[in-house]
Amino acid sequence: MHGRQACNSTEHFSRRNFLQGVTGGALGMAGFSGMVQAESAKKLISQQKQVVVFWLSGGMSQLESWDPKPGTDYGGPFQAIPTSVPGVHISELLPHTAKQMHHLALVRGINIRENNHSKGSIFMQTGHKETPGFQYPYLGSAFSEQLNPAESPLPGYVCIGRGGSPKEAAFLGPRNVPLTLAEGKPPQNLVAPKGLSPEADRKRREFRSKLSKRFSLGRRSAETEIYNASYDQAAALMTQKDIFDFSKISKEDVARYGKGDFARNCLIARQMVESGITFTKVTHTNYDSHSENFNFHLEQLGEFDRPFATFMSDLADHGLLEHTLVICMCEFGRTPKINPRMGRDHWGTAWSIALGGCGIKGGAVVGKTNANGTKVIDREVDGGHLFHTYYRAVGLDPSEPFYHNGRPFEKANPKANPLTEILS
Amino acid sequence: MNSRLLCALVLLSLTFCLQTIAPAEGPPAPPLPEMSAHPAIDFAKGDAARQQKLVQKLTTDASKATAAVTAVNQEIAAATKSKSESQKSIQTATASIKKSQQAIKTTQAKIAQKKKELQAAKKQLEQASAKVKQSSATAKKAEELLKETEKKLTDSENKTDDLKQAVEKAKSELKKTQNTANKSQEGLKTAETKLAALTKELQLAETKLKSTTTALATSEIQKKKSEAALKLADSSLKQLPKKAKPLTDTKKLADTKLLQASTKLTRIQEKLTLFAATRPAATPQNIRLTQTFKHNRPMISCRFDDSGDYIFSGAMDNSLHRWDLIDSTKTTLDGHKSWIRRFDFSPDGKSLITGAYEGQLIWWQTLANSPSPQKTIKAHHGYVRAVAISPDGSLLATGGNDNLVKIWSTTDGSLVKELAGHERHVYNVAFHPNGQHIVSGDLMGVLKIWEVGSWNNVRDLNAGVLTKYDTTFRADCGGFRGMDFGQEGKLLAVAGISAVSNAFAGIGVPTVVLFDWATGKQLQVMTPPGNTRGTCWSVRFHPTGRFLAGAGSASPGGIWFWKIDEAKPFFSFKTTSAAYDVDFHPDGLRLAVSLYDKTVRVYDIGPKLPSEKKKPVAKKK
Repeated sequence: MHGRQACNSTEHFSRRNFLQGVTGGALGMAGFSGMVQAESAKKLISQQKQVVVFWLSGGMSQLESWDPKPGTDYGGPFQAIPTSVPGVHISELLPHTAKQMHHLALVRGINIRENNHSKGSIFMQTGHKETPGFQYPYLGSAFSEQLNPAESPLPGYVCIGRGGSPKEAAFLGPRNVPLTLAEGKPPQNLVAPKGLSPEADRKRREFRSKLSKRFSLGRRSAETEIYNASYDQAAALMTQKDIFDFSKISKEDVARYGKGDFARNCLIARQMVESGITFTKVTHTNYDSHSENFNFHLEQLGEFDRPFATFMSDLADHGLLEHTLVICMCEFGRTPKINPRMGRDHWGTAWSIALGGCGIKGGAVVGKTNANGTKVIDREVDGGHLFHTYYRAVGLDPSEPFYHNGRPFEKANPKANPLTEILS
Repeated sequence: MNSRLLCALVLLSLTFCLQTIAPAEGPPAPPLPEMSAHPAIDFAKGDAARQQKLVQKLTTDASKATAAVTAVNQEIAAATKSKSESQKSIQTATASIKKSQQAIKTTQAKIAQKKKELQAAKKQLEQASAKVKQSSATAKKAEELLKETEKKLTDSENKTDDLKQAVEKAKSELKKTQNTANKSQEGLKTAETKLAALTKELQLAETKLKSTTTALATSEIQKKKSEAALKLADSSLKQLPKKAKPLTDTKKLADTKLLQASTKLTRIQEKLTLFAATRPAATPQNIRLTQTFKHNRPMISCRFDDSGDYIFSGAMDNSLHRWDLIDSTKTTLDGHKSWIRRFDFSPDGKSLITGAYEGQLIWWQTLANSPSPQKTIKAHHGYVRAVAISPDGSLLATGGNDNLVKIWSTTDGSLVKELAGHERHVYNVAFHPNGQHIVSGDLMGVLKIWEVGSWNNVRDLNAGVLTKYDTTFRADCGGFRGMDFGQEGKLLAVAGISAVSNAFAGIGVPTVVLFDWATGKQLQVMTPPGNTRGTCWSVRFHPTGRFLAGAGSASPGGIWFWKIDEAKPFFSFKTTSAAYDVDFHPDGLRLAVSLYDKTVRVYDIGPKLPSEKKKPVAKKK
């Protein structure tokens, strides 16, 4: 990008000075400000499929959640409780979620053959095992690219909580990079700085746009496109600042969801869905309980259960669940065998996730592990199968590949297939 | 080196060289309770009596087992003998059968021959008879001719020579025919004799055939009988070893048990002799394993009952397990639906109350043959983490995951009081030995002291060293895993993990914090030697109050013994795996630990017996 020509050119010097002024506030094309109106947004929302992923970082124990085995060698101290689906039991640590099981399906036969955080995370969030020298896009970025309407001013992928890295977009461009709302706060610099009138703002943006166009003449490249797009995105985001106004959340809702960061983040996630955000990832940490597994799952699932259940219930009650796919997953499960520190270790061999909403049969269960949870004995699947399922659930065809530098890359592993047992 | 420092070092070394625990140099140790006889002697006497009874029982068992083995061996011997005899009998019968068959064949041939000869003889006889008939007729004719000729001669007046010659001729003819008739008669007689002889021979042969056939049948019957007997013997010889094996194993086990029990009795008697001569003292450095009780799940709690006859232990299952220390009988107390981490005994030892992770309390009869739940109460929402009975036995204090301490009547299980104040899970509770206060401790290192009766939270103690918020993992790690009063309530020890650097990997330092009860002052922060990492899961004062023991996980595990005025242990013992609980036997000379490796192990820390001190004789090459 910085060829000798650009480095020494007057345009470059001007741009550098110009850029220094940018950090105080992003500029965008004037065109977006008139684009988003209530009706357009509503139309988009009604047609659009949306996805929410709850990422339980560290690896949640399937024995303390979706696939309890009380009274067995490795069952641990907790009981199994009935749910709103007759015959389906989950851990007593999820009493609220148990009442929402009719909205959720369980996949109990996952074996990804990975016990490493990073590799497990990549497999579960890209549908592919880690590939040296190549990065598949994460689910959020992929769905942002495929589901977020091109004309939408909204970010396609919002990450609430820790995590959300630009690398997730891989080759899909900055438009599909997650926008991270850390600590439950709106993005920075959404509001124009004080003293900058709308008219002055418009003039600045026009000037920047003019300079960019002039620079691009003869120098147009992917990088310049990305560069300009990021300004456009920022400008668009500024017009959507209302969706990040969390002060609108009622006290009653706060009371229903409960205390704590995760509860707050679930409320923000609901607002994202209501506002039409295509893909929302809510992270909860930390489940990597090598020590004191039971105490920590008591705490973590104590934070998780009620807000998650309330989120599901709210989406269902407001008719949003029909077009919103909700996935609750992590990078792997935890070992059946309890270690001397009262912990459970990494376990990619026989574990579970839950998903529900759009395209998913609520109450369905697919896959089974043996009595002690040490092996999958029925319908063994991995990240590839799950990705096929996600794609089908939202009405996308996973057999159509991505194209990067002219080469096709499969969206989901062609050797796997969707879990038709849980697709509605 | 400075001479003063040198003297101090020498003194310190001398202190550590002592076999028994000398009173601490610092604050004066409390005097031992006045005892005419050391309680260990009474316990040892009780053990000896029970052990003697066990030896008697095992002797009977061993005898029975030996008798059973002897009986089956006799059966085997009988079957072996029967087999041998049957085989011989079969051999004999087979030979006999062969002989008979041969004889029958020969006799049958002979009979056939004789019949043939008889047939020929009969024919001869017929011929001879015909000859006799004919010759007789001829002789008669000749006689008649003679008569006629003689009459003619007599009647004739001319006795011519022709007539005389005719008479002479007729006489000669008659003689001739008479000779022929006589010869025929002799021939007939010969034929008859021959026939009779042949007939007799045939009869003899037939009789022989009959008897030989009978002999054959007898031999065949005998052979079948013998074969049946052989089959039976073979079958027995196949089955009996299978029958014998478990009996042999039982005998072997019975003999082993008897030997072990006898050896143990000898040791107990040796103990009594030793204790009578020298007042016994606990010396952790003498620690040696004496008993291992095995289960199929990791063991997470253990306590000796006050009688000293049993060890009770909770496991990563839903039951409490009781082992008899003398005969190792295991009894399972079923009734809970989750793990039992804490339980306590009534002062009279008759009742036991357990608290489990499903939130219930159960009352039991401690020493019932088959204990069953006497009363079950839903006590806490979530885990019951702590259970403590008051010194007078009337009250029960529990702590749980609902952040509450609850007080119950031990008589009827009614709730007396709910004590709120803790903001996180209550990990442990204990009654002060004087029964006037309860201390409860939570995840956050907060110790609350409650006055019994008013139930006021009269003060708090801070053991903040035993808790930490891990900023990386955003989690609190801590909690009072162990709690015990010592020196009749003058001291309070609490155990857990400190200096946590990684909450989710459990990386921290096993730690005991010692408080002065009266002032609430933190006296010591006790940790294991070196760079030990892990959790101290349990702490117990020795009955003398002179030292305390902590047990924990530490790659894999350990028991640490601290004097009350020292931060580092005077002795450390590595266990085979993570230790989750420790308790001292009421005799003060033994301790038990419950371990991750699914065992409860009892160790002796009393004086070594003379037999234990003897070095094994080196084997000659």
